[in-house]
Amino acid sequence: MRTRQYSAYLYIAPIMAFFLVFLLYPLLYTFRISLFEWNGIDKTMNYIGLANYRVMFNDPVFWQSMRNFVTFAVLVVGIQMILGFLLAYSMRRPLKIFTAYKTIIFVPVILTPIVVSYVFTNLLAYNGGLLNESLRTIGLDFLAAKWLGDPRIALFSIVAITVWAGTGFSMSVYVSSMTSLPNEVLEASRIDGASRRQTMVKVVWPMLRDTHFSLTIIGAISALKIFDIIYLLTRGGPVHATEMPSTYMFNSAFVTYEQGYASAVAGVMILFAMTITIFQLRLSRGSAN
Amino acid sequence: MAKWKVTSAALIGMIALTACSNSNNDNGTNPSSSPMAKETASSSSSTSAEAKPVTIVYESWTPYKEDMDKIVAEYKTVHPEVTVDIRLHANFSEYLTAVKTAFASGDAPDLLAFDSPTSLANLKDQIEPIDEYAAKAWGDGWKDKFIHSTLADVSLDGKTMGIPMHISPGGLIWYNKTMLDEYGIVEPKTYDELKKASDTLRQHGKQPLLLGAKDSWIVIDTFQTILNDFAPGKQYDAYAKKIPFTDPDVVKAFDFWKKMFADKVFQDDAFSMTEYMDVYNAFIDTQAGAFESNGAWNLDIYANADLKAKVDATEWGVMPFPDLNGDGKAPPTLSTVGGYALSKSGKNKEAAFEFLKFMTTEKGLQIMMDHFLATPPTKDPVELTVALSPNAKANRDRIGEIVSQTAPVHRGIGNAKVAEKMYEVLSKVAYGKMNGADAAAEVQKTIDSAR
Repeated sequence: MRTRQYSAYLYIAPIMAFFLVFLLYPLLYTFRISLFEWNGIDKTMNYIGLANYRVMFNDPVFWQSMRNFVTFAVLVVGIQMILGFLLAYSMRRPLKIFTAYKTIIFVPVILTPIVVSYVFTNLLAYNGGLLNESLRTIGLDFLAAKWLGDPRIALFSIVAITVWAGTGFSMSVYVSSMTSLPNEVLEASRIDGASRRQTMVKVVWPMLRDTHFSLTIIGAISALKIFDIIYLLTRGGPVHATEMPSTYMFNSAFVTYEQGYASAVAGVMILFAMTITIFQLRLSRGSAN
Repeated sequence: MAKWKVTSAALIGMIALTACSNSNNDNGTNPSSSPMAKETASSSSSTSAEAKPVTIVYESWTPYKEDMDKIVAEYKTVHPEVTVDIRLHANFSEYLTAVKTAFASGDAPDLLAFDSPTSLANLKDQIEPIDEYAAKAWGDGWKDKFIHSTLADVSLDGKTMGIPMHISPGGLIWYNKTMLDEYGIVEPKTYDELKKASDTLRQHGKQPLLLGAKDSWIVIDTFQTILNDFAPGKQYDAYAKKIPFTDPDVVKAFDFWKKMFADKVFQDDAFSMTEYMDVYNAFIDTQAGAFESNGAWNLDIYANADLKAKVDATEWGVMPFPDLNGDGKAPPTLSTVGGYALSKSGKNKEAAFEFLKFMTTEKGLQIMMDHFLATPPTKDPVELTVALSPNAKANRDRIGEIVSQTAPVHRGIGNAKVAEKMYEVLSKVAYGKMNGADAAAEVQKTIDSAR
């Protein structure tokens, strides 16, 4: 019995070693650095306790980045899920034309953020951008906007771009989940007189509960991590209108040379990500029960 | 027999001592002790076939790759034993991220660069002062080799932290003379003339003064120039905590910055455009705007092979900022303070300095000047070996004239947090979300909290 216990530890040793070295140690190291005033280069680090956290929680820009994150996450996750579901549901029949559509919708998913940002920088330019020039051409000048330069609009432009780039992923996950739905249930709903809309909303949507939870977790964590597209398109501006915790952290680490402070932001982001995941998993488990 | 034993023991002892002596001194930290030192005492043009192979790592965002390749190839002909590993990054911020990581991970380069007092202040603990190396290479009067102001710009606490980069002042306005002529606009000397020119350009569907306001550096360059017109020298005193940043003249400069946006002197949606390449392309390639706020380094447009046809087909001009406060004087330009430095943790400091010397004062300087068309930091003139177009020559001469008429003042802000705060409040003022007095007060708060 004792030998079997030892062998169990032996089997999990590799993954435990990986976890300790590549996950736990960096996390603890980040937390340690957050207790210091350090520019990230010098050998000397000045211990300041929780001062970095105090400054962070008193900085309105930090709170703005958190508000932006919540707005961004709710909109992106919600819209991507609904659009992805509708697209998957409306193209569930095995027709060639649907396969072609699904491929086209999926293409943005494989594009790198630098390509996406380059394309949209040109598309959304105030002068000479395709969108505004098209609006001006058809006499809708009043609709031409500073899509990335107006603090009231910029975050929503980023949401739209992220939705465009990520809906194909949600759609493909729903497509694969729908193939595993039992046909009997769908047929039974039809026999019972459910309309197409009722079948979609009251039968298919609830049966894809696990997919919704997976996409919500992935979407929320991705929203928390998002950096590249925002940095390339707006750098968190204008006037912090698109500032996210990640861009705020980057600025602290590499613009104002405050590695300790940036680590404090990172620590809060990690805790936030863990809280989201635990909350959603519990919700998922409770719902399944 | 005993005599033989004593002689043998003495011989072994001497050999051992010699070996110890070599190994103790061979740590690369003493300029006069390493084998390379003997070699570097000679001119860099002397070959060193017997020297051991050495690899030097150069990490920076400048100069251009093609220039760096030429410099390394030229150096290889005189120092075949030296391999120069080049780590060039696309821009300064990428470079800084990479070099910080390199220092933190123990993979420090032997040579690095800095572009401003902000980056120098933050990299200073990683930089080996060059005074000792320079004195050894050029003699005790080595500082006379350089233009005094350039050395002052790269010095901290009495130590020279690097070899200065070429002289290339910031705070200038470039203009498309062909376009201005087309609309009957002459080079504006006052703000009213600039405003009038902007209105005329807008009436013809063109953008006026282009500013890549998504980049903080050009916003700060531009505003520092405005500040130097309204409050000469006061910003530097305020950074040094000698006077408050809330000085009425400083506030006037902020209010004027707001006015420039309200008057639509800058292009539409300036904060969505980077200086490189959005504004650069809008000015040179698509020629959507007639003016561009940029430094003398914009002279490199004449070396841009991709845009050669457009550059050659247009007549370009350069001018200082017009008189903004109505005192009849144009604001001074901003002196660039970049430098090439020796890494404190570099393993081949002697060899690295020898390469740096070649790159910044010998053949390498010639290669860089031919591309940047700039003024070297050395007192000895560097005659360009490239043929300049009449327009390029005229603008190069004009920059020299501007610099001589308005002695350049310090560029940049030493404290990174103050610089970041400055960019933040300037964005808010430009968007009408903050007034000048509040903006100055916010900067003052950051100055107060800075160490």
